Amino acid sequence: MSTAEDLPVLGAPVDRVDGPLKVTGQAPYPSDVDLPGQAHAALVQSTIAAGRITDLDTTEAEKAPGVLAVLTHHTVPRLPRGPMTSLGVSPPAPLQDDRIRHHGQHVALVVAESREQATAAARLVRVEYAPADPVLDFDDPRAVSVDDPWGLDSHRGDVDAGLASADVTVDAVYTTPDNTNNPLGLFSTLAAWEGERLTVYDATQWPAMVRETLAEVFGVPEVSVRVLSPFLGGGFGAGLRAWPHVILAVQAARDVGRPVKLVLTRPQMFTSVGHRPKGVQRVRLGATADATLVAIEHHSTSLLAVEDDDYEPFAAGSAVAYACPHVVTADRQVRANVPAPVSMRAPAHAQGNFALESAMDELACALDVDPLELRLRNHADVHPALGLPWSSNALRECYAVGAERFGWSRRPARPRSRRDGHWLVGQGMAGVSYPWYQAPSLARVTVTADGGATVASSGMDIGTGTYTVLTQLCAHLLGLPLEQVRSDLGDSDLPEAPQAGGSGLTSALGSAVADACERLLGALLELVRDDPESPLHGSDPEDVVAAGGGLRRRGDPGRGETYAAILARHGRPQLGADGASTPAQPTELGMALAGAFGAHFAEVRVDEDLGLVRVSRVTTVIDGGRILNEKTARSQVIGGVIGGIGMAVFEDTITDPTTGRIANATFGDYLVPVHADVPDLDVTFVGEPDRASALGVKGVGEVGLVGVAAAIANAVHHATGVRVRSLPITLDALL
Amino acid sequence: MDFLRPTTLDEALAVKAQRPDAVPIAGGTDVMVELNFDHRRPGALLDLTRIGELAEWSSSDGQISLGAGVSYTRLIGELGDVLPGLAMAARTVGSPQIRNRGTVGGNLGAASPAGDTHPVLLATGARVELASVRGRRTLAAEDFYTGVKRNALEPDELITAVHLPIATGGEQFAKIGTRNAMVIAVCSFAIVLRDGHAGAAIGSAAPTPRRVAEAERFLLDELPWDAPAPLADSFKRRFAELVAAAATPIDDVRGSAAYRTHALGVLARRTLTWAWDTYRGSARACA
Repeated sequence: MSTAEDLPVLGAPVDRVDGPLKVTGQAPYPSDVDLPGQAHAALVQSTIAAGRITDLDTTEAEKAPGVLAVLTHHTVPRLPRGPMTSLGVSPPAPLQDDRIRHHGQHVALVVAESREQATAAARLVRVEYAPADPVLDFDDPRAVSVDDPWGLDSHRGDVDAGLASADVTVDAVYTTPDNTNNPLGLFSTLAAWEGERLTVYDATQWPAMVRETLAEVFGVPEVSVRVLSPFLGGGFGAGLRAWPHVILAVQAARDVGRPVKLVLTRPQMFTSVGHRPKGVQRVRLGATADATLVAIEHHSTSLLAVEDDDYEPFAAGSAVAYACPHVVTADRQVRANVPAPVSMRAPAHAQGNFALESAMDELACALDVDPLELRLRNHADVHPALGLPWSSNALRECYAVGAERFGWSRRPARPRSRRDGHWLVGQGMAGVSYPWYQAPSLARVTVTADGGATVASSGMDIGTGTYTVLTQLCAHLLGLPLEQVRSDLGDSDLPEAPQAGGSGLTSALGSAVADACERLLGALLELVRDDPESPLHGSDPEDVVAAGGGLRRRGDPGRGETYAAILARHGRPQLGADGASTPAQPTELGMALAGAFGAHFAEVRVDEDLGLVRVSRVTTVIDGGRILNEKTARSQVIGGVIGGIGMAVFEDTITDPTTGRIANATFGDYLVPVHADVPDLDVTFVGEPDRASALGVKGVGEVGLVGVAAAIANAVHHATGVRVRSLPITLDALL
Repeated sequence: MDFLRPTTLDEALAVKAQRPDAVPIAGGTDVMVELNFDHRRPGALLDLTRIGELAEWSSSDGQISLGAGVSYTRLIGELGDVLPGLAMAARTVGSPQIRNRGTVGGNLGAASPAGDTHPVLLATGARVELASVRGRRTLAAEDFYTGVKRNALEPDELITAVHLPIATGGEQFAKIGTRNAMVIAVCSFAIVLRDGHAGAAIGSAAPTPRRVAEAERFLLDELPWDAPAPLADSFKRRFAELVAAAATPIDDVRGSAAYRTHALGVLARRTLTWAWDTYRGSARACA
């Protein structure tokens, strides 16, 4: 038995199925949800970066109008830290003692009848501190460092010998600043207890993890905790953890015996839900005169919170980016009194690729070879570490198609070759090899009496189109029109799916949906095969296809019946099936599991007198395996490129070097690209379905961002002759 | 906090006399930001949006009287041809939504050194009209700005209008922002050239927006007004030096003091070229 062989909906640029809900304001984003009798909470945050609280006076706040409770480390019970998750440790539990570990740490939570009352009363909480001298940067001799935090450091060949044998070497240091994820939607948690049952509407990318965490922290069974995140106003990684404010909102709801809603402010979004940590990277490359790489050495140091972890192996990607015999990559983290970092769209790779692809451009200049040619000559035809063929790899096609669309061949080789008035015009490029990632997933698909179907999963749509692609996939596999399929997502009571993160959800959850559809069709077929009243009575599985809203005889579509008819005759209101997917194992497959590949070609204009950088066009070509929806995938990549433009020329979370306070924690001061900064973005997909994925899918959520910063920095060099090794590329850097 | 909503100017002035603590609010694009961040907590807000005459402009004797409540969007659309310098500045304000709400009167009320319209008002010789129950007075723009976010308003006064000459020569405004829109000026510059007048002013480069008197005098004395010819590079450079010398900027997250000083010189050179070209064109048209 198989599904329809034509592909009417899969891959098509279908409009978002949740679009009408969103544009009419009916999609319930977390902060839109209200419950009867709810109270509101506001945070009090520390105004020092290190030290202790010596006095915390809540008297005035408690007397303020509408105040129901003030939670402090004196009132909050000792709570266990949340569990180890597949992405690492949970953040420390909040309000457990008098220690201050970073500026902006939560020190109290005020609960009141209204948000305004809570906010006003929060200002009446008096906190006295005994400040200590905070560790705020890499160079502080007191800082504790962690070498090879994830066991990902790699050694291949003999890098010193490789460098010694090179005709040309590059040795350069690149720095990237703190960036803040800054989803537009303010993170919010609404928690309600009914006895020992807990319901939480949370701005999370991972409802199942929040459920597990809350169950463990508050000592209740997982089944009595329900976490809902059906819509999210962006996350970019900030929603991958159960942050301290989530725990506090739940504790507050338990304390006051009412639902409690906590919505972070924009400045609190800078200190409470993570950020991309700053880093320093040293890259040494060696090549022979014919532009063959003989050595890659990549060391990184990034900043980490004092009592927390973060997965940020900047350098690791360099071990598999190019065919090269001698490679060392090593990552190191340094603990400081800073807010906890977190994965921010393309964690580690956004930063690591900037260093590697900038260094490759420097090497191309040193070799006097075209930067694209250098990459082609050192292309990793097989996985450089495993020596296995890739499960898919169209990076060469990304380069070829991108170069053609961009007009790369017309680029003059020398920097400062093109000028338009006072604008210097330059072009640069970068390649991207994004890592494979997938986690196990479950899903349920159910056909209902009306003949339609429902997909159900705890996995959520971060805004990228998960609702749409799952609906398309289910419609395709069951032979239903799109309108007859509904997807219910972002509810931890539904079959467990992994986080919307790591560019891995579509493949994991999509494969589980496909498995559920296959099992469901099998169950339906069993019903009809033994049913003398069915036109498909006695049919072999291979003779039946799913089409036209039901099961049909292959080659004889007139002979068949709809799901509605099957269910009706068997007196079933519905029939469902659970599906599962597990990540592929490279050794079993004899293939190296490939993530997405990509190439970016950027053109910039630099005002020669003023140092202003304007990105004038970007061409991006992505190998994302099979693309389930050309429109939502393109939007993903466009969003990624815009994030890359922000990283390249705007985004910089500035921490005051003496107090540890973030100095630009507003959208007026922390600049992200606005419409007027985003030129025409040309996005093309190439490649074949991935052989290691049941659906052939490789995620495209992050690959679009990676490489943009390097392509722009390389274009700036081509325009001006100035090599900028420190992001963002600001006005003064180019004068 | 009281929210006071007068419908006539007289009523508003009476309220302001009674409640000098009332903060006037027009588009709210500055005041609401301050309230949201709790940078100020006034006893009352005085909403000026119901007062029709503040949202009007009129023209007579070569002057525009621009009501304090005319939005940037209307200013651009309705007065862009007669007040080209001010319209240029207005186009760089915020986003379409902010330009729909924001007003020149509000820009003056906030008196931020980075306010976009100030350099043009200074360079063109605008006068600010203030009113109170005690009567009306007008002040030259340069006398209006008294310090960082401070102005010459008395506690019982409201800004009612700005009087500006209709452009007859060249007017230019240039602003440096780290991005293309929705950005506070790193620095800005305006220049106005018309017969018998050379005005130039800097923004975001000193505690207040300020005229650059020496540079203005240089233009008035040295520009070849009677035989308008293209300017020598050395002339533009001299002008740029005088402008840069008048700046006393600070380092902040948007840019360094050194960058601001340098950039002002570049803006001065460029805008002088463009404004002089326009002036020469208009001079030829009149001849």
